Amino acid sequence: MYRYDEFDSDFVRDRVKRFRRQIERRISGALTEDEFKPLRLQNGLYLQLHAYMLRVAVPYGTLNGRQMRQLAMIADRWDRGYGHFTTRQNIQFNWPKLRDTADILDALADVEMHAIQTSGNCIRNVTADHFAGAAADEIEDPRPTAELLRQWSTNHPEFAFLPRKFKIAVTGSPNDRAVTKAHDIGLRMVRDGDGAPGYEVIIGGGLGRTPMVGKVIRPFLAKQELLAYIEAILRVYNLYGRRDNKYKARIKILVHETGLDKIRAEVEQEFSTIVRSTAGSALPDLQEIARIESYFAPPAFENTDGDVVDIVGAGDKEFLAWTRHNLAEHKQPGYTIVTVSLKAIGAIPGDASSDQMRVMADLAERYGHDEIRISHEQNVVLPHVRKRDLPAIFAELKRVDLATANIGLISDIIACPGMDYCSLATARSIPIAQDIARHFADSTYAETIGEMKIKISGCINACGHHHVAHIGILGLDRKGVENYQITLGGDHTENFAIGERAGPGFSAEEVVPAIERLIQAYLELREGPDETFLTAYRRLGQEPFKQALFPNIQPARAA
Amino acid sequence: MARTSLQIVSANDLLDGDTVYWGTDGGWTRTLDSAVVVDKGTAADALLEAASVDQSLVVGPHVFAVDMVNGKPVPIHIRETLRCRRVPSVRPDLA
Repeated sequence: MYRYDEFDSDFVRDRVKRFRRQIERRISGALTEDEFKPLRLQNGLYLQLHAYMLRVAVPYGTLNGRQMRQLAMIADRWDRGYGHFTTRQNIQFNWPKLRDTADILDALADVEMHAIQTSGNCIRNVTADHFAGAAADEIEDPRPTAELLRQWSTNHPEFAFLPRKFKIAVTGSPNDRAVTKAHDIGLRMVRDGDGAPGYEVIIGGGLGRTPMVGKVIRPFLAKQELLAYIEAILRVYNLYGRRDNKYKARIKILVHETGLDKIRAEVEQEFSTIVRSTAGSALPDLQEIARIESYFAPPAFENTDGDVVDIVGAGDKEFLAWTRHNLAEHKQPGYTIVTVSLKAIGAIPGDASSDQMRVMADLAERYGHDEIRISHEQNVVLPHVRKRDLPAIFAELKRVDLATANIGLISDIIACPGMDYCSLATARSIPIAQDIARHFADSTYAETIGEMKIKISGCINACGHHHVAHIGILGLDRKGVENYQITLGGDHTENFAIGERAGPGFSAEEVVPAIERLIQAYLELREGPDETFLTAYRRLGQEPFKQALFPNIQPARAA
Repeated sequence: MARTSLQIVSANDLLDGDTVYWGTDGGWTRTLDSAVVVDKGTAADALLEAASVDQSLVVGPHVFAVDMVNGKPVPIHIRETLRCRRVPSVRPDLA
């Protein structure tokens, strides 16, 4: 993984020093809250319902064991013994004291981490496919691209005060696990006619109160043109993006209101100007790209072979269920990708205790080439694991309640912190996720239902990605009471789709029975076990599912 | 449910972010029962103004509505009900 050079290290340390003095000045009364708030947000420190929250960037979701262990230490020493992994591949600490935050940031700097640009109208932490560098379907590892963008965008003076926040995601695989079409810029690695890798560039996607599907602005961009082209997009957005209304300030609104063709023409013109005016010197030279890529060289894999059943036999049903659901195909024979579920039945999605973090750090170091990824689905990934080490890994995970065999199943739910923590939320998300997971706890029933993505947001800002869920749940405030609206048919993958609202909302108590009715309808309507909920929904449309949700309402007559 | 027009002033403590209320002793308190309860409108505006003069100890003073139940203030809105608990509803063990 990438290692800080002296400039990175000095920059991060200097920011901590400055923030330490700013905290002292706020506590002494020399700074008002209005003066201090933008400074703390620039360092990732939010104020939530019950306490401060520190959002720490996990660049493109990549960690090593030492870093994970340091997060555990921070959780124990300065927080309440746990952290929350988010849909942006970050980690949030929910209870830091104001006086301690500079010490926490110093502890993060010790392991080359920080909380810079995890808030504010700047380019946020660049996210990437959580199977990066390991997936069998990968064209190229997306992390060198994400790292290049991270270095370029960190403290970028021109783009520190954009009209609104700006999120970039990169996938190196045609199977889009990075939700690229829901980002301000999505980059998909593709090959040109000669087989050279480059990017399909997507802009103007987003969730939130105005969900939009990202649009392809450039079908192919050569790798060495990346920064100049991204700079051109940001420059056009910075110039024309709306600053009069924060709800219309994202680039998705600019693209929607202006039209893709006109934006494309502006971007291409700016791109030409950049290339011409700098005689190409603004582009990363191939040597620099190669330097960054060298940090992401694959680990020294063994020549090994054998399948899981060859290793343990068919006896251990619990273990085999885990291997059925929590593994993904690795590019190296004999290896596999392990997804560690942070969704034990009844647990809080994305939360990990310090003990669990230390176990995952140990396993990564002992069995996983010291690599860990955080997924946007709020799970943890060990990307490089020998299949023959799986029984040992499973046993250790099971000891700390991390061996739930439910990846991709109905209890593998994304849930934002909701009104249990977040001051923006209009309803709670976590208890709804817990209730659903408990209701569908029977593993046979969950396997019968098959692939299912339930995603819950506690407000219209959609941190829980409800728009792209097979079954999305949005928590709203109805006269001071929580109310939950259901959307159907969303999809975060390369077949991206925004879910459709399925009628009026439900009270908290009505949500689980409503989901159960939906599932029963699906099981009755599907053509067979191979037809997933999403496929059945696409074949049948919303009406039969709406009838299941609202059995007492007569369907509208066809005109 | 009948709604009263009573309000109290709340904020977050500067150092730890904990929920605080403007108390009957003219300072911030962590006890809801010790909060000053006033009528919505002029009285609440005046109380918020008084509480907002010195913000060196707190962040985000604001008013919220309460009912009086058995002589004690009870928040009406779910958001303030959750804030009053001081810990997430899903982590009662942290109280």
